[in-house]
Amino acid sequence: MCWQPFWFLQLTSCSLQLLNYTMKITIIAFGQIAEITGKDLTLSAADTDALKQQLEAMFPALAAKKYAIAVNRQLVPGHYNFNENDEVALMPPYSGG
Amino acid sequence: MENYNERYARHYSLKNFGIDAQQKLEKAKVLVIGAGGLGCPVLQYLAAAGVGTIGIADNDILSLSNLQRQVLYTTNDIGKPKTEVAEERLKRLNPGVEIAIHQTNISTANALEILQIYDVVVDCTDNFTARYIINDACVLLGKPLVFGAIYQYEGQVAVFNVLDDKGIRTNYRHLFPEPPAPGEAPDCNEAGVLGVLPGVIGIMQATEVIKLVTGIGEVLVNKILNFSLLSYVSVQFGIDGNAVDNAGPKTEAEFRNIDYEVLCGVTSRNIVALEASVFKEWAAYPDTIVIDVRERNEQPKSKFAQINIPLAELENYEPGLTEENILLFCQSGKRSLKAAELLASRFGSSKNIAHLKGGIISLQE
Repeated sequence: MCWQPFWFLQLTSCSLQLLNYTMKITIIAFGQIAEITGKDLTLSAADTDALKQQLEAMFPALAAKKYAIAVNRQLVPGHYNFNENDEVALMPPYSGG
Repeated sequence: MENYNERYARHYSLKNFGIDAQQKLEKAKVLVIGAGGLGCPVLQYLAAAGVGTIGIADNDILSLSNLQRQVLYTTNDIGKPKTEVAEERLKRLNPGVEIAIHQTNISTANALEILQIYDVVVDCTDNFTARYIINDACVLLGKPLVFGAIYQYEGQVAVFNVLDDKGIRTNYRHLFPEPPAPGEAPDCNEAGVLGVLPGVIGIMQATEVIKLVTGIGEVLVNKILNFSLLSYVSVQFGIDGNAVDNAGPKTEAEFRNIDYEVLCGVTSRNIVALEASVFKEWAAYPDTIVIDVRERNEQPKSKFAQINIPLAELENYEPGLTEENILLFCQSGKRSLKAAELLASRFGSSKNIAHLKGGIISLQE
């Protein structure tokens, strides 16, 4: 919308984000992990490695925890590059019975 | 109708089930490992459904705090072996079912022998040591494993070791290749659990057994379901069977040689783990300090603790521990082992450091 003031600034910030390849992702956490991070979060990250770094910086207690990562309901054991609006789940192991 | 049994009338009349599915149940041999929170509903519903042979493997004695969720038992049963009580109750529920008792904890020494008798294994245990032993044994024997686990208000259900239509077969190590470190994933003793949760998750496990045996519906093959009691949100995750090299043992000999207690951090080669009776004896020695490493509000309180330093505070605990002998305990023995390792790395061999195996729970029994 050209008639809006500063519309070009919005365009600039948008293209900068694309250059960094960071994607907006939604995080859902379960069990002990949710106790640390809260149940829902929205973050920007390029891939699973960057996400782990970012989460551990935000929540240091997370570094000592084991959790599996699922993207759009499929577990991803290795490195994974995110797409815009991916849903990322953090699922810890439960031992109780 | 031949072999008609009025008991199963509602199964016979059920669309897509009928006498064929009922006969499959009657021929099935199912092993339920753990006769606790998950095991009770699994056993009750499988016996009621008419599963021909049900094995129960457990070595636990019923205690008062079990009764809040283990609804197969009554107050009069406290102090009795769970297997014996369960057998008696299930036989009264359905005398047509054969019950086999395995009065033991599953270990690398007995797992392969016990599991190979059965068609389906149901994991209702409450610790990672047993879970990894059962998983690895099922992988080696090619047995379908119906997995269930709980935490506070949430549970997980999965069916491992069954081929899907793409020829893929996954197991617990595809989710978590190695067990968590001690204290990383608290058990029900430490974290608490809403009594109805194992009921819900156990019934889901019994359902998966019935679906697997009779061939109805969609079994949770290569999927894990996470269920929350508080929101009723149920999420299924697909498990990737290709991406990781399975970390489990490749041969039966390798399996028998793994020390799963060390692997799961329940015991450590460097730390002395004391039985309850020995711990009490050592606690009375001179120049000895007994430290409770649980949080300050945890129950039950113990008579012999001299100080309470929660594990999280121990690392930065400034006052010098001057005593030569340091004895540590917590609820289940996980955190005290971690604390012992922490102090051992600080003091080296200059002090005698030991912890209470099985935690304060073992002192009460």
